[in-house]
Amino acid sequence: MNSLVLVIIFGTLASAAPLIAAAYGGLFSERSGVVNIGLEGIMTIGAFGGAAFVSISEQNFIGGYHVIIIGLLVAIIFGTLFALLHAFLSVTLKIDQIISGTVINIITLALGLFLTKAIFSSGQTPTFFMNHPIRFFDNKLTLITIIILLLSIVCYLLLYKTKWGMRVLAVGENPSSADAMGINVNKIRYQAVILSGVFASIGGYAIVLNTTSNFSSATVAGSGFIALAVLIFGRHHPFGIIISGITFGFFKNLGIVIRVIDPNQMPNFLKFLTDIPDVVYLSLPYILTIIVLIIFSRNKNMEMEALGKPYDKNER
Amino acid sequence: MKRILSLLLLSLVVLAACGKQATESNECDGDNPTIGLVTDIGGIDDKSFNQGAWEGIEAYCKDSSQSATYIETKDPADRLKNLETMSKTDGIEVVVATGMNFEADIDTVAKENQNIKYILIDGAPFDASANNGEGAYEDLENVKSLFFDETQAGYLAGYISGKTTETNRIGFIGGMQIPPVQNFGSGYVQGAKDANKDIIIDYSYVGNFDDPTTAKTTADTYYEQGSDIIFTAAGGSNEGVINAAKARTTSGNTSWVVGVDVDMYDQGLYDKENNKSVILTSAIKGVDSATTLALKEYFEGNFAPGATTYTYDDGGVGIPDENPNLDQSVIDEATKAFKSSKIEKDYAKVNANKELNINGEI
Repeated sequence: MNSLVLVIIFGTLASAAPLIAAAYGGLFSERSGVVNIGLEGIMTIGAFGGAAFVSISEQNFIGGYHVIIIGLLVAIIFGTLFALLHAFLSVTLKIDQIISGTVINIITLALGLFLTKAIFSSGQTPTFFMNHPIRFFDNKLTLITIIILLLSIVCYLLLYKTKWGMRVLAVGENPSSADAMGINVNKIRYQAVILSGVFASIGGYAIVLNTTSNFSSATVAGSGFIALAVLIFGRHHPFGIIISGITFGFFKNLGIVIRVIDPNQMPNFLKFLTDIPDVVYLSLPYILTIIVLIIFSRNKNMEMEALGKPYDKNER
Repeated sequence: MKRILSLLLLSLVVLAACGKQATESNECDGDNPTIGLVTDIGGIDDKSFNQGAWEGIEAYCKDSSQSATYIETKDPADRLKNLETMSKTDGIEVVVATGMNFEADIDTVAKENQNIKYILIDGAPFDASANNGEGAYEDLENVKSLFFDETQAGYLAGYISGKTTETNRIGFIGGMQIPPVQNFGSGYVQGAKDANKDIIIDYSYVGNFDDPTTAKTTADTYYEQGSDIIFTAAGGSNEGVINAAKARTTSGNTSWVVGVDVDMYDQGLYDKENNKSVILTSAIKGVDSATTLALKEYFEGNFAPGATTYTYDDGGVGIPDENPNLDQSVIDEATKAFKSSKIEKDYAKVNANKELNINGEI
């Protein structure tokens, strides 16, 4: 039983980390007033970029931890490019931010699979070998998971303790006043959206490192949308995101373990849990998402008045 | 300006969605293709039945003067439309479709196009309007169904696992509870039991073919509660199981995986220099050779409508020729046991067998 508790704990961290990273991305973007439902797409292209780089390196017999780290940079570059596209469409061209995000979600998966086919002539990148040393606790915990959890402190300091962070908040709350105070609204939004691309692509790459070791259409498969729910449940705050991300991951993994565990290995007082039908556990994360959204959509976060609205000087 | 651009973007997306229907060029290229493949979701290179069917067609192209083309189905709603498009393409004589999802659509299209022959893999024509809307399977003169006896491949893999396990406990993780997957699982359970009467089997379905996270946590749970071999038949979720096994094996807890559909040895490599893989063996389904055979029959004038089930004897299912992680003696023993075995096809009877110690249900 003890070891199964560890399965739940490490499973929770492994599946929560990508959601948390992508939610950090959504945090900066939305705090600056730009809705980013393109998180899913940026995660996808980041996962592709990182996985493809590591696979190509391994095919040329270059392995080791530095490949994994450069893979992270490649993932970030890919993700940032599409975040830049989102910024260009929604900030410069003032296109509806939802449409822009949707476009990114659609083209990234298609592009990722197309490039995968072109490079590896297969529907998925080759699975890579895990003889790299960036794992701890009998390979149960990856370095990227730890980094993502620690990044919450960086996000907190960046958003609440720096001049730039204050500007992001101001731009997201009242762009007209910010503009009147001499802040370049569009520049701040560009920076925030690009930063969201950095975090979301780290999230995508984290799925590759934690769970799949390759890229295919099944790699991200909706994680970006769950990250948006994590962001809302986390009340657009770095530490809130950690709590909500881990809550989501915990319920998902708890559900799986209870569903598949051998009842004889459960302590007697918990055996009743294995009698509950499978469907309950399968639907638990989704039901939780809906409940959370219902509760938190009621008290709207008043600090982001300008969310979703392109800033137009002439309308001031 | 803004509105125009938004509209432009939207139309681009719509165009992109339509554009995916276009066929791509391939090795079977020719001026007048006579063979047309319509794939199911997953694409032409899904490392599963779509790819298998296309490789079978390519193999036939190489041996004959025929050429072929294909349409990849991206949206479940397009299956019927894609079948119709392919049937109406000039020069096409045989249409190959993959998967039980085409059962109702192929019934409709085959009745409309009597001059075209159809080969359906893993399914039979299903008239959805028969029996007052309840639907019924039927035989059509121009449809040939290819089935595979997955239970046989599962049995072999199960027997080998039953002999190899050191903990007397093994696991099965399926994608969804549908016949091709259940057959693999049912055979696996029976083979393992015949090899090792004390064996305990952890058994479950992910519920999805694209959820590697759930597959990985399930695999971790099974390995932790004592299973040392897991048979994965979960499509895109397989990576989660393989990844769990690799993480454990490289940290000193030897954990095996049995692959599915194709030889997955390369996917399980964790030490390329020494060619070490977590894949013990794979339960193979020879969609390619069966497709080649069916095409050959047609072009030689021997098209036989109705269902054909490919088995171990005709090379339709089995295990790979090379299994670096196994002793030949184990394989010989499994083959011998398989030949004298009587495999139960009814899932309900397997589930009801009190002697089997399964944690889960087929």
